Amino acid sequence: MIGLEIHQQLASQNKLFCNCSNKGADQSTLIFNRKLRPVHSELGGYDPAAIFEATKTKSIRYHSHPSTSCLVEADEEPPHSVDKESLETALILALALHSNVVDEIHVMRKIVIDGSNTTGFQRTMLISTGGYLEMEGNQKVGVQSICLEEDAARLLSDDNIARDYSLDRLGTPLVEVALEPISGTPQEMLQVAVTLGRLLRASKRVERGIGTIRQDINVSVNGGSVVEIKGIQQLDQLIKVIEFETTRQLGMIQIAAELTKRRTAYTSEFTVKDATDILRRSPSKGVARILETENTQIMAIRAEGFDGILGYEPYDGVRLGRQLAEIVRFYGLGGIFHSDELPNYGITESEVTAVKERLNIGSGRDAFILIGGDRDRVQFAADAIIQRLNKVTQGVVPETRAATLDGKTIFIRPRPGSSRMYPETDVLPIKIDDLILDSLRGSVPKSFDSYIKDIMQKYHLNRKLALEIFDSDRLKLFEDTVKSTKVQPTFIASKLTEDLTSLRRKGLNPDRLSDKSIKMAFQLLDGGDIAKESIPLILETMLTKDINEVKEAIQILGLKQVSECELNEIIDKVIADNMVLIRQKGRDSLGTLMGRTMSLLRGRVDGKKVNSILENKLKQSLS
Amino acid sequence: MKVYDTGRDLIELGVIPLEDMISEAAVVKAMWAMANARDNIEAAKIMERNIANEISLKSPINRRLLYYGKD
Repeated sequence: MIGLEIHQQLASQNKLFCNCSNKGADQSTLIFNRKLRPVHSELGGYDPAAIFEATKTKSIRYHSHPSTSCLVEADEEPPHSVDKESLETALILALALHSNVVDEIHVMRKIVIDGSNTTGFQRTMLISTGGYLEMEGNQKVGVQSICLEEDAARLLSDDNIARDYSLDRLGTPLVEVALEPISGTPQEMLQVAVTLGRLLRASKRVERGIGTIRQDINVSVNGGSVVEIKGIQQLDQLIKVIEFETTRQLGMIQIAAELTKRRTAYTSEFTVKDATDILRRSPSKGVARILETENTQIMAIRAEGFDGILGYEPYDGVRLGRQLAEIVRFYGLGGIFHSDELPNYGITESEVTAVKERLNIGSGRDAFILIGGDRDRVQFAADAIIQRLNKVTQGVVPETRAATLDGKTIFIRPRPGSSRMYPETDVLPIKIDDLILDSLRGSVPKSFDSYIKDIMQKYHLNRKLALEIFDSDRLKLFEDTVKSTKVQPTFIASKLTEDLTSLRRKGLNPDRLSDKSIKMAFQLLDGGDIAKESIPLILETMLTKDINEVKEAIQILGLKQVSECELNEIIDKVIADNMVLIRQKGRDSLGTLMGRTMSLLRGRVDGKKVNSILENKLKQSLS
Repeated sequence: MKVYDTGRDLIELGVIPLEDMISEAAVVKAMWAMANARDNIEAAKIMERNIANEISLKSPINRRLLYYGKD
């Protein structure tokens, strides 16, 4: 079963709780330091992950710029009222998904302990519950809930001493749409994600571009618990991540079955002993690196009955040992060594024997795990490993994982407890009545399908091109350019889709071309200063030579319009140079001659014009 | 004024919050608003809306940097 959750940035002038914008600042002008300490939540109780984070007591540095942050981001001023435009967008999206809007919106505080919110919490509000997303073929996917919340600060860097965040993104309005879990193939899930994304974009009230929409999925297989996977940025990762995670979960269930098979009596006795002295002079480079830092130690954990289980690999890459290594990374350690893979990595047979002796491991089916690092962290990590080993027979353990760029998932933290949310008392509740909803119904986007039909009709595009331009990030640019020039919409649309894609395939990054400069290129074309063929060349040159001005690219390429006289000269030369070919093929040589002429002219003349002149001259020379 | 109970009580009594508008500007604006609005309710809305920077929309973290361009 897979539950899709998307976080979509809204296109609003202001942030959710203040009047800053989230765009336009490059360099920060001010940096200030903070430290976070966990306290009892207002409802009592600690968050266990918070306790560990607090022991790290890292210093947190926030980078700010006056245009993108104010005292609200610095947590020195209370939040302003909820931004009206963002609230309206959230309500419109709720109506579009046939969701039931609540009578009164209450803003809540969700505790966040990694410093990505200066206040120590994220403000979020429930907008609506229930509803459905219409898929192609009249299928419906249920909606669980829709929330409006603020985005967190942007992580700039993280070393063991301090963590740096930029405040430009903090407070940006996001809409979170959580869908009901459904069972389906990864391809079907991708379709759901694409359809939802398209509906949001059809509202014309959301941001577009990389990083403005983030997918999280909750994955569970038959007989397993739910695992949350966060941060799928691009849809092509989605299928890989679903496949990887499903395999991982099935693997965990198999490992659990294997362990249960061999253990008739289950004891949760895990002995932990210091093994620093045994490995102090180990030839292993990994161990040496750990021990050369001050205040470190190596601990050995005896895992009763786990011999052969730690390294057991029911599916490619799915091993308990690897899961444990990911967990200790949360506590700042590099990884683990375990008996199923030793002796290896420089750790000798005699060292292995010595550890077994220290842990009282006889000829039974016991395994051991070695972890090493800073003394204060190693104890936490050992506890975490023991906790995890105690849960192996559960199969799939509920946890939060992150999606990696290559379509895998890694552990980031245990599933948080529920004592994380409490009311935001600085913002008044907002009553929503039918009057408000009715005033917004006119802005609810029609179905995505009718939107595409509108584009096709208005601009005379075929369906494929209409879909491509809608899905691209350049829809607004397209509409602007059509409005302000007389260039054919089909031409503009194809340049903005096919040509930009082929630039990407060449390894360049067309996202770096600003809307303004692309529009300028079309305006110059409109004014007759350049030829159609030169547009892809200009865009490519701007990327390869890293320039922002269209006029500069035109100069570099020498793309002034060719004069009538020069054109005739060039064509005459081409014909003269290729007389052999012309005598051989006659009229059929036109194609080849066109190719040679165009490559000489390199986009400075309209192809049609060249063709007609060349054809005439060819006829003349043949007669 | 909407953050604390005391402020919310004042608003309920009919007090119009003007944030950081200075009193001189408030007097003049009130004269203008009442002369140009249909009724007192609209006048109150005009008072709360920022027209010519008489109300700060945001408080910069470092005012000195903003005014003088350096610390």
